[in-house]
Amino acid sequence: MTIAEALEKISRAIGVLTYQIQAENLAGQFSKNRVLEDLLLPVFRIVFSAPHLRNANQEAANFPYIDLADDSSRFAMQVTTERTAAKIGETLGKFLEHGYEKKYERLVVFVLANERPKYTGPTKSEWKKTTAGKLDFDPARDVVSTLELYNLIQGLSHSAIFEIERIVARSIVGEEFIDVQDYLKGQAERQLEVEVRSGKYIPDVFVETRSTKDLARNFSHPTLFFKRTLESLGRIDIPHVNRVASDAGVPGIPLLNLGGYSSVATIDDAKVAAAHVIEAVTQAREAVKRYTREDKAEHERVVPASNRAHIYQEMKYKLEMMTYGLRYGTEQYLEELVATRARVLLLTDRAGQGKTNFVCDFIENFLWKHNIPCAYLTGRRISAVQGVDLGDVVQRLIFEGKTTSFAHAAELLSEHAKRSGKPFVLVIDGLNEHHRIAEFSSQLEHFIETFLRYPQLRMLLTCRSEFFDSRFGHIFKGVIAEHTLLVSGKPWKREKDSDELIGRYFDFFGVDVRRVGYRAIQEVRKNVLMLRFFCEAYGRRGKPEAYRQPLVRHLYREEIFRIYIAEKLSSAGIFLQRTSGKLYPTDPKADLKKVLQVIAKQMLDTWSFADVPLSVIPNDLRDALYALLDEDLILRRDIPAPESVFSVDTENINFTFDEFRDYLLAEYLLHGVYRTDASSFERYIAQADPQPHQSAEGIRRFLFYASRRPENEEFWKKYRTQPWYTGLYDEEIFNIDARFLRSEDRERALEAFAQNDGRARSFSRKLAIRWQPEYAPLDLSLLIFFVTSSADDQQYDNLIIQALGTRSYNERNSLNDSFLEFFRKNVIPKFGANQVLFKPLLQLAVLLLPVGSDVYLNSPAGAALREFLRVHPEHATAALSDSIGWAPSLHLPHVWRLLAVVAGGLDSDHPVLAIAREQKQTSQGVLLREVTRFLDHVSPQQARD
Amino acid sequence: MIIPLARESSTMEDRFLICLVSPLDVTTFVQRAKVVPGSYAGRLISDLYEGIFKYSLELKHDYETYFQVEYPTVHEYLQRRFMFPASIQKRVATRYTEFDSIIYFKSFYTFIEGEYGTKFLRKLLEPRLRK
Repeated sequence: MTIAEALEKISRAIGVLTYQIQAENLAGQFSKNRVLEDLLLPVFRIVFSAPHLRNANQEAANFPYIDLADDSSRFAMQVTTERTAAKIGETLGKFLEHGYEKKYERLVVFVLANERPKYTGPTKSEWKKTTAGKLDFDPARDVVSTLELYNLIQGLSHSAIFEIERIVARSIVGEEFIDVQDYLKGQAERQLEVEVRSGKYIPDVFVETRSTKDLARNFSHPTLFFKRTLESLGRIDIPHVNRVASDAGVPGIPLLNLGGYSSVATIDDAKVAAAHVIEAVTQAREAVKRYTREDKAEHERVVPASNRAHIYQEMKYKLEMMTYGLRYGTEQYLEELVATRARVLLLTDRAGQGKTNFVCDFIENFLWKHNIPCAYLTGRRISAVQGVDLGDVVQRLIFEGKTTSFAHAAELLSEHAKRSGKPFVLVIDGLNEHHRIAEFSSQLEHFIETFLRYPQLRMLLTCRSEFFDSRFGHIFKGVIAEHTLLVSGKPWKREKDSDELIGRYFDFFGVDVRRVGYRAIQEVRKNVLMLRFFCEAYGRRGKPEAYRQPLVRHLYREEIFRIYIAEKLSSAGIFLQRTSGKLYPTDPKADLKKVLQVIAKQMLDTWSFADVPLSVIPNDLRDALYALLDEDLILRRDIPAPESVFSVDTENINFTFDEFRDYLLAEYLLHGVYRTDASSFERYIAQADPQPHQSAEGIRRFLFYASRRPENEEFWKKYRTQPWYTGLYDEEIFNIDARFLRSEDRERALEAFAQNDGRARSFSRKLAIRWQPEYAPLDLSLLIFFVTSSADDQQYDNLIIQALGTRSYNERNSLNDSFLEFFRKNVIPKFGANQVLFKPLLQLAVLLLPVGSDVYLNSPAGAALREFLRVHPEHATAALSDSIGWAPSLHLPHVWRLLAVVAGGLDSDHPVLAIAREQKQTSQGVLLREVTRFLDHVSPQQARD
Repeated sequence: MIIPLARESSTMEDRFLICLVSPLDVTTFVQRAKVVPGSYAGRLISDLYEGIFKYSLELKHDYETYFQVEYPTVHEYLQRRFMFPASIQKRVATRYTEFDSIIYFKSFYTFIEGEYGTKFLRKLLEPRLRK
C-alpha cells in the first residue's frame, strides 16, 4: 500500500465516522465511549504523541471534564459533541477548579463535528484570562474538530500514517472491523446452551463454594476484588494479638500496611500492589510461626521478658490459639492476592464434583454480569476441531474464521480488554475431555506460552485431578507455574438442604413433584447421581409434547435405567453421526451398543467390574466410544495409579454409576448371552467369589427384575431354580413394579407368615407400608387377611407386635409410631370419603392396640382409636365389633375397653352385647375384667331388653 | 436487631447478625457496659467494640460494593454467600433499608456465649429506652 492509498483510506474513514456520529446523534443513539475506545484513543496516542493515553472515564476515581489522559506526557483531552463557546469555557473552568493543570500541562478539546467551530475575539480573551499563568491553552491549536484530525495525520511520519491506517481498518468504521463483544457473547452463549441441553450445566444448582469462587473473582476482576481482599486483611485483629503478646512479654507481629493500595485503578496497579501485600502478609505469617509451634525449634527460642515470664506461662496457649487463627485466616487472602496476579487459574478435582457447573455458573452470573470479556471452550469442543496449533483452533472457535491467526485474535482481545479495564478470560473446561489427550497436552503447553505474551489475557482451566497429574502436570512447571494458581480439591458443593437441591433438579428437568411419592423422594435424596437418572427418566425435559409423567411412588431402578439408556443412546447416536460424519442407515445406535457389549463382555470374562483398558475397544468403534464418554453419565475415562515406575501408561474405562453398570451387565447377560448361549450364561451366573461381590449381587438383582417381566417368563422359570434365588427374592420382590407380581407371590408370602420366624416379620414390615391397592397382591390387606383369619396369638405377637412395634422405621420412630402419626393426620380426617381405601388401615390400628401398652391398657394405638371413636363412632364401633371375631385374641381386652366408651349408646339388640355376655362366661383374667367393664357401661334398660 | 446464629463448628465461635439503625460510638458503648474506661473491664469492652465495629464484616457495604451486580437481591446474597437459614434471610432482607449497618460478628469471648451473650449484646447495642 502506498502512502497516498493509506491517507485516502484514513480520509474515507474519518468521513464515515463524521457521518455516523451525525446520524446517531439525530437518532439519539450516539455512544461517545464506543467511538472513543474503539477508534479515537489509539489514533490520538499517535497523533498527539501520548503513548500512554487512557480512557479516564473507566477509572474508579472519575475525572470529570477529562475523557482521556496520559500522566507521563502530561496530556489530557476532553471529547465532546457540543461545540459551543460556553461548553469550552465550562471545561476550562472546571479543569482548573479541580487543579488538573498541576498534573497535565496541555488540554485538547476534541469536538465531534464535521466543521471547525468558530469563536469570537471576546470569548477567546475570556478563556485567556481564565487560564492565564496556569494553562497554556491556544484555541487555534487545542480545539480540534473531526475533520481537522485528517490534517494532523497528514503531517505525521509514514510509519505513523501506516499504523493509523491499520487501526482505522480494524475500527468500527473499517472494513476489517470485528465486533469482539458480539463474537465473545455469541460464542459463550452457544457453549453454555450446549452444556444446559446436555444437562451438564443445571443453572441454579450450584451453591457457591466461597473460597474457590472468591479466588476466581479476584482472578477475573482484579481491580474490584483486590480491594475486597485488602478490606478482609484489614479486619484481621493484629493489634489484639499484639496486646496479648505485650502482656506476655514477647515481641508482637508486624502490622499490615495496606493504606496506600486501596485506590488501584488498573490491572497493572492491582498486580503491583498485590505483590507488595503478599510480601507484607507473608512476613506477618512468618512472624507468628514462632507462637504456633509449627517451627518447634523457633518456638522453644521464645524467651519472654524476665518480669513477664509468669504471665507468658499463663498466656502462651491463648497466644498460640490466636496466632494459629491468624495464620489460618490469612491463608485464603494470600491465595486471593496470588489470584489477583495470576494469569492462569487452574481448578482440579475428582470426577463429578461440579467443575462444569461451577464454570458455567461463573460465566453466567459473574463474568457476564460484570461485563468481563470471556470465551468459553471445552476440551471436548476443542477436540472436535482438527488443527495442529491450539492457538489457531481457539481463534477459529471464537471468531469463526474472521481473524487470521491467534496473534491477530489476541491483539483484538487485548485491545478489547484494555478498553473495558478488565482482563479477557478464556475458559477451557475439562482439559481431560479432549479425545486425544497426549496431543492436546503438548499443544496446550505451547499455547499457554504464547498466551502469556499478552498481558491483558487470562485463562481459567479445569481438569479432573487424576488426569491433571499424569497428563498435564508437566506443563505447569517453570515459567508457566510462576503465572499459575493451582486450586485442587476444594469442596465445591455446599448444598445444606437436600430438599432445595431436589427442588432445583426437579424444576430443571420438569419433574412434577406432585406425581412423585414420598418413598421415591427419600431414595433419590441419598444419591445425587440417582437423582439425576431419576429426573432424566421421568422429567418432561426433552420428551415429546404429549408426554405425561407417570405416578412414581417407588424408585424402580430397572425402569429408570431402561428409560435413561434408551434416551442417552439416541442423543449419543445423533452426536456420533454429527462428529464422525458416518451414515448409519439402519441403526445409528449400533456402534454405541457394540461398545457397551465389548465392555460388558470384558468385565464378565475377567470377572472384574472396573478399569476396562481403553485398548480393548476396537479402533473402528473409537468414535462411538467417545460419543458415549461425552454423554458423561454412562462411561468415563480413568487413569490407574501407576504401580511402579515401569508401569505402562494406560487409560481405562469405567461406568460412572455402579448400579447402572450392574443393570447393563444384567441386560447383556439376558439378551446377549442367555438367548444365544445358555451354557455360557450358566457359567457366568455360577461364577463364585470367595467373598460376596457387590457387582455380582447387583447383576443378580437386575436379572431378577428382568425375570419378572412377562416377556421373560421362560427365563424366569430357569432363574428361579438358582440356589440363591430365595434370598434374592425376599430382598427384591418388594422393589419391583406391582404390575409384575404374580399370584405365586401371594402364596409365597402366606407360606412365609406361616413359618412365624424372622423372615415372616420381615415380610410383615414390608407389607405393612404397602397399603395402597395398587400394590396387590403383596399389600397390607394380605397381612391383615392372614393375621385376622388364621394367626394364633404367637403369630400375632410375632407378625404385629414384634415386627411393627419394636423395630425402627425411620430415624425417629418405630413403624407403629409412624403409622399412627399417619393415621391421625390422614385417616381420621378423611375416613368418611375413603372408607374402602382406608379399611385395612383401620384394621391395622386395631391390631396395633397391644403395642406399647401399659398395665392399664393405655397404648398409642388405643389413644388414636379413641380419637377415631370420637369422630366416627359408628365406623369405629363396627370395626371394633368385627375384630372380636378375629382368629387371635391378644387384642381383645383393648377392644372391650374401647367399646366400653360407646357401650351406653348401643342398641339393645346390637350383636356385640350378646357376644359380651357369652365371653363373660368363658373368659378369665384381663379379658374378663374388660368384658365386665364393658357390660357395666351398658344401661340397665339395654341389659333388661 | 440482634440475631444469634448457630455456633461455627470449626472454630467454636459464637456468631451474630447485628443490625443497627444508627451508628454507635465507643464512649456510649463503654458507658452502657458500666465499666471504667482504662480498667481491665474497660479494655475488654473496648476490645469488644472494636471486634464488632472494626474487625467484623459489614454486610451492607460488602453487598453494595462487591456483590450487588452478581446477586440482584440481598436475599440471594445472604443465601448464597452465607447460607443463613431462610427465616433469618427474610428477617434481614425485609428491613434491609432501615438498617444503617448489618454486622456479621463472630465472637471468641466467653462472656458472649449463649443466651446470656445475646442479652448482653442487646444491652450494649440496643438498650430499651427508659421513660
